[in-house]
Parts: sequence; structure tokens; C-alpha cells
Amino acid sequence: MLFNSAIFIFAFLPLTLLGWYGLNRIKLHRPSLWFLCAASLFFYGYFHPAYLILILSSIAVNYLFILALRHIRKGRKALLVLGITANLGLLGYFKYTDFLIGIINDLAGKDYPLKNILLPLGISFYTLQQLSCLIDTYRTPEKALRFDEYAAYVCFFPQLIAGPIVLSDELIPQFRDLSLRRFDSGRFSKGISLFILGLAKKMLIADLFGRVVDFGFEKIYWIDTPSAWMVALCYAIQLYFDFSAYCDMARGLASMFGFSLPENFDSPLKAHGIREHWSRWHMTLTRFFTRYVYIPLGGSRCGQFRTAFNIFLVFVLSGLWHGAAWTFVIWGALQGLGVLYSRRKHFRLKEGFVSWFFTFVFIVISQMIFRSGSIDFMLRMLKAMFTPAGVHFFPELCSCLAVVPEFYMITRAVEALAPQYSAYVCIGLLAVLLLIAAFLLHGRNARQLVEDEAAKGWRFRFTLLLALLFACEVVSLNQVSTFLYFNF
Amino acid sequence: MSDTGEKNNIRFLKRLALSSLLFLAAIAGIVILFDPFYHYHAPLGNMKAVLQDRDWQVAGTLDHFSYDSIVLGNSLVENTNTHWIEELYGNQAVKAIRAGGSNAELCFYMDRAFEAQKLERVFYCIDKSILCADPSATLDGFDYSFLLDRNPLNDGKYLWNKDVLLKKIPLQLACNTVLDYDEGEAYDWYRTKTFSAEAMIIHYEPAESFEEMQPVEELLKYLPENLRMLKERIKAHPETEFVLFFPPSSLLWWDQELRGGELEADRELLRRLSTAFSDCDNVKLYAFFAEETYCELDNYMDVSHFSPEVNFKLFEDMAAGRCIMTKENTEEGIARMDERIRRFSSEEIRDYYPEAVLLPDPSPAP
Repeated sequence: MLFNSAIFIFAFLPLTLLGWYGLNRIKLHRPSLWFLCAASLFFYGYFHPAYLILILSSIAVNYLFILALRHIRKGRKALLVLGITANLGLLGYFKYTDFLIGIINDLAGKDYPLKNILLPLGISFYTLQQLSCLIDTYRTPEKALRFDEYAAYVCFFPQLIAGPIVLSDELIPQFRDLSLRRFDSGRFSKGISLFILGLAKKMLIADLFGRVVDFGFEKIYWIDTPSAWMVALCYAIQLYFDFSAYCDMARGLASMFGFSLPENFDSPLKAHGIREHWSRWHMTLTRFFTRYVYIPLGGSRCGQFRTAFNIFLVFVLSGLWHGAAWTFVIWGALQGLGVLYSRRKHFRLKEGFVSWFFTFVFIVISQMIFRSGSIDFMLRMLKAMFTPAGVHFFPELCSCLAVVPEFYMITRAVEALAPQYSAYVCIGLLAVLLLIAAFLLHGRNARQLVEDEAAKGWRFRFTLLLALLFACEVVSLNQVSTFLYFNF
Repeated sequence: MSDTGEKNNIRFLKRLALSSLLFLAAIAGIVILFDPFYHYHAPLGNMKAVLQDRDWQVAGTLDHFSYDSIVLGNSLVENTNTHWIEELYGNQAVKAIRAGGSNAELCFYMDRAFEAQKLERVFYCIDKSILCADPSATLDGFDYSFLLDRNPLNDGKYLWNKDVLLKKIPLQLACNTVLDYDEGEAYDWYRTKTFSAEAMIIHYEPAESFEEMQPVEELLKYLPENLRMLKERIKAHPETEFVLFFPPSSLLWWDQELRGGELEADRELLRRLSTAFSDCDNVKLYAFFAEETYCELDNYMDVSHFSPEVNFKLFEDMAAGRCIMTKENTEEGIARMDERIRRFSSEEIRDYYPEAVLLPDPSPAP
């Protein structure tokens, strides 16, 4: 099920909230957690019920590993290795089989057929989450964990499909805190506000930029220099608003149920360096790799060269985690190099507009590689970006906005009254969109906005703005698209 | 939390719920008022009916418009102007079009029209694709299917729909004010197409061989059921005149049928059609065989889709009583058509496709 769907907003969410608070109100605390698990699994299996078998098996097997790690004294390390291998094996099978077959075919000149395995929704996220719990249990086996708590921790629907990657220490104590299970109007108000703002980011902004990006990549063989830069810029904005939207919605939904999920996104496009960018972008993924890969590898304790190698490796792995293609590996490697550059003490840019600008350009270019999907497309885009190739395609690129409902009246009126200006109007519309995005990126983020409004007692104009945004979102539900981070 | 904080939160939630409901109600009100898919009512006042989204609008127009005849069919009749019907027959017609539609789907529309109005005439374009389509086809499962039922609970997709609000309603208003819109040309598509031999031959590549004639019964397996469904409705409405017409096709379409081994099935289809309704007094059957206007490649945009001029001529010929198909004249029509196709496929096709393989034996089959 998607957050941006009528069935979720008008049926699933209200019924689940009703069930959750209703059961807790009559003191059925454990059944309420089971209810939350069942609702989350319904949410997960709505489109592909077959995936339920996979996630349920994964939860059951991991819980057995956790029980074993807690209760046995000998061979715990071997058990942990086995548990990690089982999780990575499952993820590897679904995510990397075809990638590996492709590499073998390329290297050995063979033609083994690809398996075309469909990637189960959210497997990258719930695998990391379960790995973190497994490793934490190995480190601190004395912490007890009930199956219903563990199942709810893994499949709690706000974070199930695209994160944030929550640690068991963050969520399970909240499940145990019965005071959080009483309806709290403050938490609920903040939650619903974050959800509406997040939904607006996705449906009213990210999807608009997504049209330009999709059109640009569809016509990549005709793309010119300004169009290639525009597509790359639009993708950076789309990805930002898309993922930021999801994080806001996830946190908002959790808050509506009384829980708090960790911050995953903190205005990353305001960063003045790649290191800072990664401390603001997908923060829980960065945390996962730092805790469970970088530090066990030695972190920064083993000399400069080893530290650099560890950082680089972590980002290459992060690239691979995002997708099974060489473009993701290259993107990860570039991020690693960017972070290494940011760590230098010498030749660093002073924090200011220039450092922000270069960071932003680096992000735009590297995320274009991230979007490319294949080396061929990546090279075409890079060639178009860095080899002057005219402006022949640019008006056509902008004209893809002509059919967007938001601009339809304007573009049709211009077409009817002054068709010679149609292309200019579309360029103008894209410029306006970019200005709006710049304004939003520059201002306070959704979390700050909601906190401020709560502190001011929820001003009426903010309430009206939220209601208007919600109405716009409801009418946009007929144009459902999936979140970009579902693909990873 | 302090009492004031709690009070503020509750007030915020109440206001948010109420103002959201008000906004949503206002949007729904606008959609119901303008109703661009005519799901609730016919155009208000002097507003024109703006019909450009057939699948979304046909059911609404059939339910709520005032008419005494319908034009049923697929994309071949989309360019028919309903004003012609008024001029030639004196009937107020609405179009019930299903592009690539089957007889079952079109019968659904026909039933819907009979439920809403007393029909004087039904003009039904029955080509091979309609008559040979799966008779169990339904209109369920499409994006717009919710507009076909009468369940108000699923109308939300229409009432709160960005395309309806920001595209369809403004277009409806523009067509009623600044744009020169002809209501009779509902769902037409000809404006952006080129009708010429040069343009249409791009859409067809003659096969390099002539297949054996395929088994007729296999190709026409759905025909009996489709004819039965149609006849059932004809019998149920003796007061209505059913104008059934087998539309013309370009010579390239016939060449395709000949090369694909389907020509014998086409002949048989016409034979069965000519006798199917012989006991129905309220049926007028027409077929357009080898007349040059109907064969001329310059009147087509691809092998089967013809220009609005051909649409007009069809109705003109039918109104004048020309091209009537009877049990008696069908064989002669088929023979004439056969001869024309064979001449084309054995000789004239080279004018358009210099490399085309010619029909080796142009003598008509027995």
C-alpha cells in the first residue's frame, strides 16, 4: 500500500488508529501490539501478498537467532556470522543475483540467462534493521525481547518500506512504555501536520520535477547541454523532496500512533561539504554503516590510509545497497571520495556560498549518475553536460510541463492565443518551479515548521494552509506514483 | 501537557478536520456543478456538451442527455457529426463509442440508452472486429469503470480528481466561451491526422506471401453469439429502427485479409450477416463494397480508418437508401468486391509498394 493512496488515507490509517487506541483504551496492550503487527502486514502485503511469506519467515528466523544468541554461551560468534550470512544471503539473492550473472557473463564471455527476480518491497530496509538487532543482541544479550515486540519493531508500517532504519533500542522501549499508548493530542497534531506536509512535498513538488526528469531520460538520445544540467538539477530536487517527504510522513505517522522515529533527513542540500551532507541525508543509513561496518573495520583508529580505505569501502557498500548496478557503485565511490575530500584539513574551502555551491553541484552530478541506471545512460548524460551541444532540445524538455494539470490552463490559453510563445511560457513555468523549490529548500524544514506552530498554539492560517494542502493532495490521488526510495 | 496546550491541540485538530472537509466539499460542489463527464446531469443552461473523453463520458451522456437515436460503434464512427443525422434523418443523436470495442461492450451502451430514452433509431457500425470479438467482454476493471455503475460510494475518484478540476472543467468552460467548439463532433480525432495514400501506406507492409485460407469456423467462432445478442435487442425493441452497417475498408485492408488467408471468412461473415436479421422488420442493413470513394486510399489515414468525408458519405448513402444489403444482392456485392481486391493485389499495389509480391492467380476463387 502507498501512503499517497486513497485506501491508505481514508481507510487503512483511520481504522488502524481506531483499533490501536481502542484496544489500548480497554487495556488490551499486548493484543494491541499484535493488532499493529497484523495491520502493518496487511499494509505490506496489499499489492503482493506473496511477499508476506518472505517477511514473516525472515522475522521468525531472525527471532530464533536472537533467542539463541541470548541463551547459548558457546559458539555465539559463529551463530552471529550465520545470522548475518542468512540475512545478507536473502538480500543478495533477491537484489544482486542478476547483477552477478551480468558480471560473470561480461568477464567470461558467457550468456547465462538473467533470473529477472522481482525485488520484494522494503527488503533492503528490513534486512538492515534486523541485522542491527542481531548484532546488538550479540553485544548485549541480557536484553529480553518478546516476539510480538520484535515483529512490531520490524514491520511497524510507517518505517517498513523505506526507513528510517530504526534501532531496536529506539523503538522497543517505546512499545513497552504504556503511557505512550494513550491518545496524546500534541503528538497526534504534530504527526498529522508532518504527514500532510510530507504528502504535499511528494505529490505537489517531487512528482512535478519527476516529470521533467522522466521526460529527459526518455529522450536521452536528443538531450543537449542545458537540458542535461536541468534534468540533473531537477532530479536532485525530486529525490530530495521525495525522500524528505517519505521521512516526514513516516515520522508523522509514527507520531500519530504515539511513537517517535529517529530523524533521517536534516536539510541535506544546505550542506557545505559532502561529509556534512551525509550527516544530514539518510542519517539512519549513515549511522548503520558507521556502527556496523565502519567501526568494526577499525574506523579511524588504524592510521590514515586504513581510515580512508574504510570510508571509501563504506560508501561503495552504501552505493551497492542502493541498487545492483555499476552506476550505484560509481555513485557510492564518488560519495566516498567526496567525504574523504571533506575530511582534509588543508585546501578546504571556507564555509560560505562557494563551499555550499560546489557541494550542491557535486550532489547534482553524482545523483544524476545515481538516476542513470546504466553506464550507457550515465556517459550520455555526462557527455551532454560537459560537451557543449546546443540548446535544440531545451524548449521541448520544458514543454513536458504543458500537460501537467497544474499548468494546463496557462499552457492551453497560450497555445490558443499566442502559440509562438508556448515554449517560452513552459521555460518560465519551469523557472517558477525552481524558484519555489529554492524557497522551500532555503526555509525551515517541515519538522521545524511543525514545532514552531505547536509552540505558537497552532495559528489559524497554518491550519488553513494544511487543510488546503490536504485538499490538493486528495485531488492529486488520481495521479499515484511510487516513492523513489521503494526501489532500493 | 498543560491544559492550554491540550486545548490548542484539540482546537487545531477540530479546525483542521472542519476546514479540510469544507475545502473538499467545495471541490466536490464545483465538479458536480460543471460535471464535465455528465455523470450527474446534462449541460446546465445554454452550455454546450463538450465531449472529448469517450470512455469517461459515454455512460453519462446516455443517462442524462435528451436524444432519440444513438450512433454506436468503434473509432470508425468517431468522426461522424451528429448534426448530419439531424439533417439526413431528423434525429437527435448521441454517440456511444468504444474504440476497439466489442459487440458485448457496445450492447452494454445500447442497453443503457434504452433504459434512459425511447429510441427511434440505432445506427450501429458493425465491422469484423466488433462482430468477431469475445462476447463475454465487459467494461469492468478500467480506470473509468466506476462511472459506469450507479454506486455513489465510488464517485470520489471523480469528485476529487486533479485532471477533472484543472483540465476538464477549464476546457469545458473554454469550449463554451472562447473556443469554437462543435458539439456534433464529439470524440472526433481527424484534426491531427493526414488522410492520403502517401501517409497511410506507411502503416502497412504487404506480407511476402499469400497464406492458405484459414478455417472459417475458427475465425468466426464468436459471430453466432454476437449476432444472437444483437438480435435479442432488436426483437426486444420493435419500435426502434436498427440501422446496421458494415463499414468500408481500404484496399490495403482487403489486401491484408487476402494475404493473411482471412478473405474467405470475411465473405462468409457478410453472407451470414445478410441473412441474420431477415425476419426483423425493424432492421436496415447496409454494406459498402467496391465503390471507388470507399476504396480510394487517399480517403484513409491507415488501412481501416477513413476521413470524415467518408463518414458523411456513409450516412448520406444510407439515408438515400443506397448500399442496402440483402440476402439477394450480397453474393453479387461480394463478387464485385472480390474482383476489385484481386485486381489491386495482383497489379495496382505496385503503385504504392514497388517491391510487393503480387497475387499469382488473380482469378476470383469459386
